[in-house]
Amino acid sequence: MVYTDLFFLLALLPLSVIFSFFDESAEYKNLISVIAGAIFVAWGRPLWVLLIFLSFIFDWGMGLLVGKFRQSNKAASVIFLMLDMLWNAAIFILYTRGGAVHLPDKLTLRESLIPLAMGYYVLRAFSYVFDVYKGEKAEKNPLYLLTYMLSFHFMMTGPVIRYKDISAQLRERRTTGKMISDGLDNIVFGLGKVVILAHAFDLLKQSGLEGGDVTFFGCWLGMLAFFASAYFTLSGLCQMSMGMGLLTGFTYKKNFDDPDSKLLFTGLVKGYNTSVTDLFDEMIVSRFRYKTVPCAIAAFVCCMAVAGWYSFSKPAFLVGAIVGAVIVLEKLVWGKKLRAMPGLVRVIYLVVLTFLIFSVLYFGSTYGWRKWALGLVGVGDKGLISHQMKTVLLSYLFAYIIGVICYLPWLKDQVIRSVNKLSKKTKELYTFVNTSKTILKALLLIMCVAAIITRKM
Amino acid sequence: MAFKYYYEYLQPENAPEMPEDKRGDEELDEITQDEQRSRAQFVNIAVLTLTLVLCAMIVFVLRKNDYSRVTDEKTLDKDSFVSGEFFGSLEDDVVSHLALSDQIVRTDDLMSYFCGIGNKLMKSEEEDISSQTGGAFRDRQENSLPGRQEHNEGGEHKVVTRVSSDEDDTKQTKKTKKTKATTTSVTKSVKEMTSTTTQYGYYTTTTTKETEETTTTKATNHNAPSVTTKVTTAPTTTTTKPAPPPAANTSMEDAATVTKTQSQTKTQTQTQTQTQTQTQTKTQTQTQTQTKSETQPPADTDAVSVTGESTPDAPSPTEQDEPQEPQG
Repeated sequence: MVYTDLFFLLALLPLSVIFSFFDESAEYKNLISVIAGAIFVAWGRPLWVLLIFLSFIFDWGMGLLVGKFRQSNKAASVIFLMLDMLWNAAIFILYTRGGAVHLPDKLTLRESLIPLAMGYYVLRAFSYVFDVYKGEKAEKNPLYLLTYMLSFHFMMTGPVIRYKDISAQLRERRTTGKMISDGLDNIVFGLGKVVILAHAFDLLKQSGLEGGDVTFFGCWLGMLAFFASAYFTLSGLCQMSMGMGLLTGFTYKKNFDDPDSKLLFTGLVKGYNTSVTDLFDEMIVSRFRYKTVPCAIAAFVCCMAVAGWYSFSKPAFLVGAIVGAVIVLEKLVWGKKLRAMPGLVRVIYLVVLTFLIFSVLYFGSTYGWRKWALGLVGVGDKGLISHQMKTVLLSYLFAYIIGVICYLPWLKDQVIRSVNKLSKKTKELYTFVNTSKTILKALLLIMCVAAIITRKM
Repeated sequence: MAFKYYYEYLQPENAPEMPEDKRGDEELDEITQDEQRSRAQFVNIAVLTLTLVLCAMIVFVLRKNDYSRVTDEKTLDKDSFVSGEFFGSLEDDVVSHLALSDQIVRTDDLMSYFCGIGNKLMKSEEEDISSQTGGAFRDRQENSLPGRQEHNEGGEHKVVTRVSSDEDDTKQTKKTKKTKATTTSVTKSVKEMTSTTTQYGYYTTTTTKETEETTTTKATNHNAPSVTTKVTTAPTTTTTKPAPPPAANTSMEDAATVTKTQSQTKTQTQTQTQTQTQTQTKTQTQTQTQTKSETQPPADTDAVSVTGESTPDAPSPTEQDEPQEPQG
């Protein structure tokens, strides 16, 4: 099951939230979360729940062992940590990168409905044991850990919540009216990002990059739309996840930082799916933080690891290597100089690097990439814009404008500030603005559900 | 009288005037704002919850059939439970038996006016755009783009669900995968074509000119512009067909779509998993033809293909080896 399934959105999610209100105790709420999470995982393939339970028992045991030996026998705790890493890596490769290794057909779950979450699942599982190794207390009560591992709002595409950040909330949490309201808002906005914006940008990408002719705007806007589509898909799912967390009393920090040119390319990369990059950073780079050269090497290795986690393919590793190299160079060579330059220069630097590096993920071959890169400067173009792209642009114009507003922080702040300013003028205006917002959110929800149904017809 | 003294006691003569306590007003303002905020939150929760419940009722309660049999083929037994096919087909069944499906499609159309100017983009064109694979940036000589295959199936997220290939895979395997994707698209299109044609009367005229290798897709719907795309297929057929309706979502927006697509076409893709490309292409073409024969409009129904494929009436072995894509 995924967040945009009708059964999840209109049945499992509301029912689990309603049931969780029947009792105030955290234990009861945890039980509901575990049951709902098991249904969520088991929907496509019921036997998958067994794997999740097996994995949970292993991680729980490893956590206890690492916690026990971390003081008395460091070597033993390292061995257990490595064992857990191997175990999770094996699950990860087996169930999400089946094509990358030669495995018998029976071992690769080719049509599984769950693997989308497995990358995040194993990362979360390993992060728990890693935190225990680093000094956090090992969890003795399996139900708390099971809630952490199995709850559907931790399940999909991040953020990768660390157990140390959430363990207190697993023991005691309350849901307020504000949390429910914000949670619903987050779910609706996240759904809108995934169903409307990502789809609109995907169509733009296809009209620009997958049409018959190379056009100038096709190259620029098509690639921009490719990035936007990926961004809105992930950030939308994360926002939904946070909304679901709020509905059940969990709060956690957001997973996508606003772009800031002062942080350069390093900041841009780290700001995308921050919980994942932070975890890899902590595991690989943190111990070399104060040594320049080892830190740079570790940053490079970290980029390769993140790339491998995202996609176990040659283009991904190539992109990882280039990103790692740029980060190292920013750290050692031109970072300080660039920060001192005007904002426009930094923005151009970021746009050029982002376009040239991450586009490799799209093309995967030098032929297409070279043709596209030449098309960016007008070489080989058969015009400015194709008819299809024009049609798509007009048809989704408002969606693109909203997408741009959502992405650019200063523009988003400006809009929010002006709306707030308006609502504060009088009591009537406050009511009017808030009612309008609510109606728009309800319309957005209807729009998303109708779009999901229509696309599945 | 007693009140008089009481008043004097409270405010004796020549007493200095007490300053007004501004903190009280501020607190009062805060309380009022809190109250307003709480009211707004309550309205927000109530409206969104009601909307959600309404949507759930429309989807799950108002149905054309009951839940006793999930689909015509899938019933709950040990095999279908363990394999997950039963659950996979539940959502398909819910969607296909919606009592208000026409209204939902109309709502979707209506809502799409919020997305852009004039809502010029017809669903059929969306389908065309979605089904584009390859295009100008595709290397025809290499005939394989590892990253591209991955991208088409959903980018970094859907990579996870991808059955992906080893680097040493042969060309044949890669071709098979591409054909598989095309088949899904075609099947969905034909399937959806039925409803659109009967409900709205969209008709699409496809004309292929031999010299230019160009397919002109022209929709006679109220406001749809005509779109011209070039195709790689040998231009031999002139076709008129009902326009394909809401697009099969092959984008990377949503993992559900990938898994959904897989489950929707499960029966068909069972044959597709075979590695022989030609056999597979035949199978899909036959399936397509059968579906068409059920859904074709009374006239102008010679050969139908959304992707420019030729029907078994005029097959071309060399074309069938290649994935059928609008190009040029």
